[in-house]
Amino acid sequence: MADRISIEKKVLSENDRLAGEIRAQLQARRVVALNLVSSPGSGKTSLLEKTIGALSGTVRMALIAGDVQTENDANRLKRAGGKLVRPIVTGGACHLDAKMITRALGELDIDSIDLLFIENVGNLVCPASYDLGEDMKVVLISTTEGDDKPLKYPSMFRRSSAMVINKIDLMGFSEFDLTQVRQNALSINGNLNIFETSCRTGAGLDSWYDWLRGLIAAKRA
Amino acid sequence: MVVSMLNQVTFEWGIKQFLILHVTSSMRRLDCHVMHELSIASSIVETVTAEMLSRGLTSIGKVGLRIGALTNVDPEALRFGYETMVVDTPLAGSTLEIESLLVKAVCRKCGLSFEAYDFIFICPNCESGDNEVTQGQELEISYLEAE
Repeated sequence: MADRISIEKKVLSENDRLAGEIRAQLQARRVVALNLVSSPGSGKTSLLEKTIGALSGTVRMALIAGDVQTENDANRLKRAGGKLVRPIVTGGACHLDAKMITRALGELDIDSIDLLFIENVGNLVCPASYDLGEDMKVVLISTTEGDDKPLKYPSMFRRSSAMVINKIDLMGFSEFDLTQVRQNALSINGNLNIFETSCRTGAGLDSWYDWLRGLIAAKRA
Repeated sequence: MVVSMLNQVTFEWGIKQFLILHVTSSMRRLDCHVMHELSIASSIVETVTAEMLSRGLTSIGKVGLRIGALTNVDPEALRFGYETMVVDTPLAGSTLEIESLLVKAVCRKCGLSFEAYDFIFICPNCESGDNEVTQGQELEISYLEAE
């Protein structure tokens, strides 16, 4: 009989340790940190461009934009008026991890911010496993995707606190059913805050901004 | 005699460290470019390697894992990734013993513990969607077995 040595260690314990450090660092500065996740092309960057435009007068924001290749997203966020923007090019990896965030935060002046957005790599599987030290995950889905996506990727929808249904201006051009997607998402996670937006027409964005302002106010209280 | 034994130990130690560095850095480059499970496998190799070093183990037979269904980790893909990675390393020949855990939750409204079949988190008793996951998010190394 071989000797069995009990270990009881989380596989991602090193990532979790770093994420804990990030969380403490952000908490001490009362920064709200949101980790944006979605499939590629749901509109994470568009939502952030709009958010920068609407809130940059009143909310001090920093943004970390992750991509497998190119700094295109980070450049878009800078063009939209983002002052504190750091790209992370993962060079193949399909998710951001806490180590990458630690490095990016070292290059940002987080003493002066209220809100940190982390735009994850477009992927609904791997980013679910990696804590980045955020307050919450926000998952995006767009009306050009299947309304059963929450059922296909339950882990991500379960771990998210809010869901943004984007591209609602394209409703009717696909079989996407708004009632069905809400029902699917809520069966996985009954506490999801749900927003319906169009970054093209601006529909629904005000309630998204109000929610962000509420998070910032709650953090300062 | 003692000196030569010490030399031998130091030599083996050095080789091991070289392999560990070499293997883990090449794995990082691969990461989950290939698949999600490969990056998880790489974290397992790192953790097991560190445990072997700190416990003075020179080889390993089995690595016991507990994996919850909510982690999106496919056991067969993980096994394949792990076994491919450990070839020609101190972990060579070791295998993963995976205990798969179903998803369970407890209802915050009526207190019922239930199994979330197909990841549907609706209380079968009171139909509330407000609940807490109690099992299914595990991604843990539970034990090592020396050969």
